[in-house]
Amino acid sequence: MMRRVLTTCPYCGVGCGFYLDVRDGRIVGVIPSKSNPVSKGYLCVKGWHAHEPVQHPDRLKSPLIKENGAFKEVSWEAALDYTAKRLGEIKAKYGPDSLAVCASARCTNEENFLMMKFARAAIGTNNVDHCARTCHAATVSGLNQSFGSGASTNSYDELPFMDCIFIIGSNPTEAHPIAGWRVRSAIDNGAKIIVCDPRRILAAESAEIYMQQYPGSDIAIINAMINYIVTQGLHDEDFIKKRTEGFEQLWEVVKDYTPESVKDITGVEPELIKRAASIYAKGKKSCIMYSLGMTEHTVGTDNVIAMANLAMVTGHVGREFSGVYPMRGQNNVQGGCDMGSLPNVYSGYQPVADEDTRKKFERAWGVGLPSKPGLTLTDMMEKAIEGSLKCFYIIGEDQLRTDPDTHMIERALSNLEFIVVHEIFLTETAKKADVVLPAASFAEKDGSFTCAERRFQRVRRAIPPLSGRTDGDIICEISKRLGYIMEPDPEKVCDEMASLTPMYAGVSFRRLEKNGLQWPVPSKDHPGTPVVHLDKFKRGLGKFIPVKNKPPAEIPDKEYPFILSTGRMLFHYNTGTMTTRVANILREYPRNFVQINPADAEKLGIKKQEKVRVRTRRGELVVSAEITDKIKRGVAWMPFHFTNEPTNVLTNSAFDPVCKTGEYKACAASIEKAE
Amino acid sequence: MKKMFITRDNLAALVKGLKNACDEFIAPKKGHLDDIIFEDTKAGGGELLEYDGNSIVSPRAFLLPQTEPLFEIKSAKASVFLPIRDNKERIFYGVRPCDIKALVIMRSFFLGEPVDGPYKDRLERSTFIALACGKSCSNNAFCCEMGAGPAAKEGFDLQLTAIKRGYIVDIGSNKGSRIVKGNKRLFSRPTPADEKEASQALKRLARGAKRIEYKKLAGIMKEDKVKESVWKDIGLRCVMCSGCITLCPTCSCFSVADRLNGDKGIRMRYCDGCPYAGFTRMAGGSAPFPRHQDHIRRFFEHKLNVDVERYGTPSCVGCARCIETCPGNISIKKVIDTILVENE
Repeated sequence: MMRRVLTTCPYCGVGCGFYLDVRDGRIVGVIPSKSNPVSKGYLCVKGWHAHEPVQHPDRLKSPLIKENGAFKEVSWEAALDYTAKRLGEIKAKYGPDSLAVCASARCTNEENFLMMKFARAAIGTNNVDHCARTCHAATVSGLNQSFGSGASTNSYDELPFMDCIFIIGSNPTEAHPIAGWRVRSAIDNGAKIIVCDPRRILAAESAEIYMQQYPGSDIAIINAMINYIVTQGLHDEDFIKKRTEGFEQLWEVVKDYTPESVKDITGVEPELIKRAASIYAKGKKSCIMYSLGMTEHTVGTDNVIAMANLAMVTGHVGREFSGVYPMRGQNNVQGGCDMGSLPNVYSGYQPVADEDTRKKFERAWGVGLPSKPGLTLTDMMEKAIEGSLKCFYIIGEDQLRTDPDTHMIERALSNLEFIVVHEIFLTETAKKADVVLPAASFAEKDGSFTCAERRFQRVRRAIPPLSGRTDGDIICEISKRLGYIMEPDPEKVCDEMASLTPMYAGVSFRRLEKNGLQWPVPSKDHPGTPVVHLDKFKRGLGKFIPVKNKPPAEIPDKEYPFILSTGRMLFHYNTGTMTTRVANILREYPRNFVQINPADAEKLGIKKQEKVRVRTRRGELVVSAEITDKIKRGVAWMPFHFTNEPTNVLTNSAFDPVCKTGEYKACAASIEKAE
Repeated sequence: MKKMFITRDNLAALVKGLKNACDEFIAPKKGHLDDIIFEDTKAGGGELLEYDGNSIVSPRAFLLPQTEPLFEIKSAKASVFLPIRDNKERIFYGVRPCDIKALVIMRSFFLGEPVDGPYKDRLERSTFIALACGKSCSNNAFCCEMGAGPAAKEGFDLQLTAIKRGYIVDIGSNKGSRIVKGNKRLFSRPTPADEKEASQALKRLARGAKRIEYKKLAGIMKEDKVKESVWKDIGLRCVMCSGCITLCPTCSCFSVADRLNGDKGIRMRYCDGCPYAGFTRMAGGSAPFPRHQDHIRRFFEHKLNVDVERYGTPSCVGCARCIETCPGNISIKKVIDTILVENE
């Protein structure tokens, strides 16, 4: 039997469409869909191999319960009963806020809706969050303040026709390759590209301007660009007057940021900043593309606000062929946020603290709901160490490898009374669990993902769940055992979500069939919204919020002279649980490494591929040295994909005070030859 | 070559009959919106007897799937293996002439020494009914320039060319001849006017197509006269997606890996090839061609130079699949044109 099942790629947030080629129950390959509006027949190396991990022999197939420190395979009934019993006991003993749910950006919208409903209605806590906390929470908090909506302002298809794309803290070629294809097309169409990155990434090779800044000095650069734009009269006075507020307050701060004044902080020549500012401002169709290089800082929210300021000063937002593009990292991290897997909002960013909203959900769900916003992932770890959090229900997330400062996370997890993990492979976090519930991969479930251009797209089941149950099924089973019945059918969940969420009111599986839908979709006949903030920002007037440059929480010193930054590579995805199980991909990069500049290497007497010890205040790791002139002097860079050589033992959990995202992108480190 | 004629109704009847004579009837089928993909339509139906464009994947996806189990490992320790045979009889319908030419080249490779068992098994159990092109399938296709279109010269069992009142049928093999003989009442002799109509339709498509001087091109490559700038540009564009080598109807490279669960599992082979640095990296880490641009160069050199020497024909058939899936906007047609122009 041969089947071709159209679905959405499970890797990054671009949202490519392909068919899974299923023959006699085995998925043998991937066929790109030329009609998919996002990917149009293009895929990256991860997408081309998305089928390989699905039926890998390492997949978890039966539930595991830990007994005397070792896992024992048990039946579904036993695992579900035991889990529900323990959850119920902890809730009865310590209250609902002693439990927390970590939802998953890897799961579908419908499952995320169920997860947040489970936390709020079945357990009775707003302690629900997901890995958006570790990536784009700053986008939500930043763009929300400036524009009134924390998502991409425009759509992918505008990118090839831009005059200027300003790429900062984002590596589209490697991290979002099919967005990278559009950047490539823009270059081929004559667009001028400005790249600002501590590493000379591939896009920089074809860029008009390349600025190599020190990690964590982005606000200085952007403020200096605004400064130059305004002093040269390149700003859009009309736009500022009609569409925004607070320009005077912005100028009060930005007026001191001349390009010359930031040279030492940023390590960038003033002339480059001026040229970049001029090209961006003068372009009729200019946009900003950014990613975790901007958000994963203690000043993540401010970074995002700075970019919003730049876009508004020049009028490059609120119309077609302009805008601010946050490149979302995971297949459904947009959807995780949208569905309310966040401690302060229900689906569609409706605040839990708002009484009318809460009443609406209480009526629909037939249960009283907590009004106090819950804990963020960052706070959950803190409370676990402190002792007030007792139980963590984790769905498809490997905190021990993704969160900054692994040793701290280890302490947090060790302190909990009960941990449940849904996983498809036995990750490091799953090993810490009391119960592991084997979940289903993207190829085994129906539902939808929402990509970075706010597009809902269908995910379709190609093979039955290897373990017999999807994450949605599992949550509903547990919920039932806790005395709260939830409907698991994805299509019905989608309908329920639409009925409770004005912003997605027009979403249904039937309407997603063709090209998906870009939110807002406020009604059943609304066509979706490719460009938001047209004519008017979501919040009314766009708000200029002055932000100042602040150094990272850790700056280099004698003992730790390097700034260590981390990031994603083309060939791997996050903790590598899937990509390291693809033969071609693993062969390309099987081990962790650290990139350093040749001048630094020479000073330290380190040769190509030699083993070095990277040390920070939190931990150390021995990896091989990749010596490359693509990285700035004084900066070191490591990928975070290798579970046996986990980079996050090094990173800093110092976080942004607003959105609580850790500073993965800059910490102080030392590097020495490993003897 | 003997030519026959079949009406549209009779073709539908023929297809119905052929479906009963095979395990899988692989034919173009409409996928999502405008997507066309070869699929088994034996049970579900929905095959397009006539269609514009080409399938996103070529027949290669069936003869050499992206990943395929080669044999079952019953016990790795005890060396107990169980063959996995694919004995399915397949009829491929509506295969474009470019893909037919590709099959000829692939046959030379896989059935040459050493013979590839799994490929041979499948090929020998396959029947190919080609559909000559009346229209260009995409703006990027250049099959006529590569001598692979608008009709196939060899490598098919039957080839259909659409005319107003039905199809002219070329018989290309004994297998094809047997199909016609077994369904005599469905076929008739074409009139001279039919034959003229068909040949004119094909000529119309080929008109204006300037044949690529592939021997000259191969010569330039062999003498290493391609400007460095060509390869450098490609090196900056290629993002190693592997789409080109996965969709190319003549890419034959693969690697093998064991997927073991304890002592048991399968040995699988999977599509592999030029873009990967690891493809030619040796144990210990040294690589004969460390630069990325040279990996992609290898892809072009193989298609346009090495295979000309080996098989007397380039192994690019101009189907444009690689062009239309490349996130770096690399076009093999542009590369060919640039090289030829720069070496005039």
